[in-house]
Amino acid sequence: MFKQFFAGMEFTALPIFALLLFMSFFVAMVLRTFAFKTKRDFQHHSELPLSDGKEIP
Amino acid sequence: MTTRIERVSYDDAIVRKFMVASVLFGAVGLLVGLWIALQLAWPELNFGIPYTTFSRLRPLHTNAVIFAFVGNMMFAGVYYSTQRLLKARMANDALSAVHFWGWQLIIVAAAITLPLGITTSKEYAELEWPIDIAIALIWVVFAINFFWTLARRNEKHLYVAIWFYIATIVTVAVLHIVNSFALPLSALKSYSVFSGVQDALVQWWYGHNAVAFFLTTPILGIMYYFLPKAAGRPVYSYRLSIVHFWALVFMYIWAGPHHLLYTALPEWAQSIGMLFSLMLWAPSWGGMLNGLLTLRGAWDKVREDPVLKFFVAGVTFYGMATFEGPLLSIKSVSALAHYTDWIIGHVHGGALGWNGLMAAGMFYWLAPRLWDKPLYSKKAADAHFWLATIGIATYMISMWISGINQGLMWRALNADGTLTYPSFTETLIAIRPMYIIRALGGSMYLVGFLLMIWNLLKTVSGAKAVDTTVEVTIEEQPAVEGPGVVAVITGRPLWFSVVALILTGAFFFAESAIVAVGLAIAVLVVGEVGYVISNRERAAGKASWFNLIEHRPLAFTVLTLIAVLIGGVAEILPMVLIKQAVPVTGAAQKPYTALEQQGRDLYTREGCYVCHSQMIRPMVAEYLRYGEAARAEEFIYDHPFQWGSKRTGPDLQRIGGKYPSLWHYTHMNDPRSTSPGSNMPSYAWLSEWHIDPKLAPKKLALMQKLGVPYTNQDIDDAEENQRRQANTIVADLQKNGVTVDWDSEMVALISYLQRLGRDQGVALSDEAPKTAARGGQ
Repeated sequence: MFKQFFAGMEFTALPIFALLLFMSFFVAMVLRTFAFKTKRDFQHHSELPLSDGKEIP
Repeated sequence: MTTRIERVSYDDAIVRKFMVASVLFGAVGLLVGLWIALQLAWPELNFGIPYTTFSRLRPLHTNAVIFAFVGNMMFAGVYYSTQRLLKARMANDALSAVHFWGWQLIIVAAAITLPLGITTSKEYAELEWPIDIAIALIWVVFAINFFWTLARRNEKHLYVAIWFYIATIVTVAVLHIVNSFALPLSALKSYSVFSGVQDALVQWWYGHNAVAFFLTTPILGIMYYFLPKAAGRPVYSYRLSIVHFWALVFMYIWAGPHHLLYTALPEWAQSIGMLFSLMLWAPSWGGMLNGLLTLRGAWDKVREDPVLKFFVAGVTFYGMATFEGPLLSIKSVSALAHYTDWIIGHVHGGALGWNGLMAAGMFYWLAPRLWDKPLYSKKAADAHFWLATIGIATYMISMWISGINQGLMWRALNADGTLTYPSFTETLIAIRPMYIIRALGGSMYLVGFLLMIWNLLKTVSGAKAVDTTVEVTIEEQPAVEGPGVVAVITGRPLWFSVVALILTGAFFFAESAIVAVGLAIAVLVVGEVGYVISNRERAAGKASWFNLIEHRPLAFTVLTLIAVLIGGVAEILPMVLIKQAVPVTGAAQKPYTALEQQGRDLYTREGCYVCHSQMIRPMVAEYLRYGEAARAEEFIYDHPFQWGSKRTGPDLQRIGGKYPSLWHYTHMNDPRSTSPGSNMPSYAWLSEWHIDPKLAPKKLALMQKLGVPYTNQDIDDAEENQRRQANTIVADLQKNGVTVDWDSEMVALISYLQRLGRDQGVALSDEAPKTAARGGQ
């Protein structure tokens, strides 16, 4: 299936490398966001739209 | 850490300007859309004028909606939210003004050139090279202003909306520049440096990602700012928004080839396009749910607040469109839906539903704040909401019915293997009622939009425009210790990733089971070591590598750019380097003659590609209707490609020689005299207008520079050869009592049409090719 998928292509290493890079980054990012961080770590970030500053008339 | 209080005055004038421009151009874009929708049911509504004909106005409609309506709306949202999220005024008011007026000039240039037929024929990138350069320059001005503001920000954290804006700015720049590579013939005419399959891939890499990074990511940024603001509560899951962002940025860029399924594009590229489109389901729906769940516990507000109503409906349409998109990317579904009105229904669900309703919600939110006066009428806003929602539903459902009907009729076969509906116009007659219902849905949407304009005008009339000034508390931190940009690049996580990647790559190429197991264990060990080290550093209170990246806009932008480029390079590079000129049949392709090239330019000027494809897919029904499936080598001299994306009329890939020149002459003068039931407008002006014969050698010389194998003799003799070929067509027409000038545009276009599909090596067998797929039948 692997060979059939890439039939007619001369640069098979390129998309495979890109796919691996994508997968590893993605897994690392998900782990970092959901396993190593808690909701509280992002509380300040998530409240940024609600803290524009005190309006001066 | 110390804090200080600073007074910041936001530049809201620029937000007001972009908002007014968006509303104004939105009305124009919708009006033109309705007009051309009516022309599909009543083609005479072009009033016989070239400049108001469907094929010229359709690019104007798409450009007006995408770049004028959504573009201006996006800039309004970006300027408003960026200043507040960074707690800083835009870096330079002059740059903001140059951005605004430059963008509006580009829109005006588009509105003038497109009806005149000055076009590259590349969908959503039709504007000619001087305007392309202007777009690039103005985009750079916007980027400088944005990144300068980032550098001067008073809030160290970059909220996720800012991430989406960064991705938009860098990706749109890359897409626009690559897809616009062209050699100019004159001030208003150029030819793409890419040809055939390469041009198609680059174009749809651009086309798909224009939807992704112009119509989606900036609006998602706007959603992540304005929805929590209007609901009065933070986004449901900030962590989900991070995953949403990175997943979209990585995946979107790969999905372009789903526009080219079953075409002459290599199979691997089609499969990658489909695969990544399917993967997009997850982050898109993650984002949609994140938006909707932000309203958890506040749904009662939706009943009362028109802003939230529009946002909720807009986000829901985002979910619908991002469900339908991957569905349509499945090859067997695409076999039925591609080239049909189903795609038109899909894109309007996104444009009118997602973009249009988000824009309305944002305008209803902004107007009272930017003019310091309450919204004039909530009832009118409610009426707008229902008109828009029912209008979109009417539009989409009629196009679904029409598209599925078309797809099924095109492929329907009798028991004896012949086509059930051999005449293309049979399908047109069947779907005509749907075109009328579609126009009705569009009218409702337009009426709702006009109601919004009236409501906003009443709101701001007599009110004074106000610029917000706020007092913000700024945390003054000691100089950031630890890694700079170099240290970030050489950071441990990066090295762990590279080692893990190399080992994983080696795993796939391992030739023995023992080596494979060893490599798998090595990957796990590297991961575990990385995990342990990162945990220790965290416990020691050191800033994590990702935190450093998040706080450094430059590093963040570079990473985003790399993420985007990975997909583009990996997909496009093999295609650019492919030996596409080697024909399967062994027969060499012949470049177009001078007259055929002139005719081809008229084909693009009139926008024939808007309604006719030149790409026969390898399916039995297509073979029976149009002839042998198209092959990559047939298009090697096509600068630009003309595959099209919609079949309002039949495919023209093998139209050459199918009918005599008299048929073409009669058909273009009065389409319904040769094809009863056709909705093609008359192109009678082609008999009266003349080509410039002197341009022929210049065009061939330019094509020679692009790699088309014209000899110098071909170029020297171009004018004479052009006249000779034209005279044979003129003589043929004269035999049938038709007199037409040899240099009339009609003759040139007929010469091009008669050439189509008559390249060397096209099989003339009556049998369907054995490799033909039945396309899900």
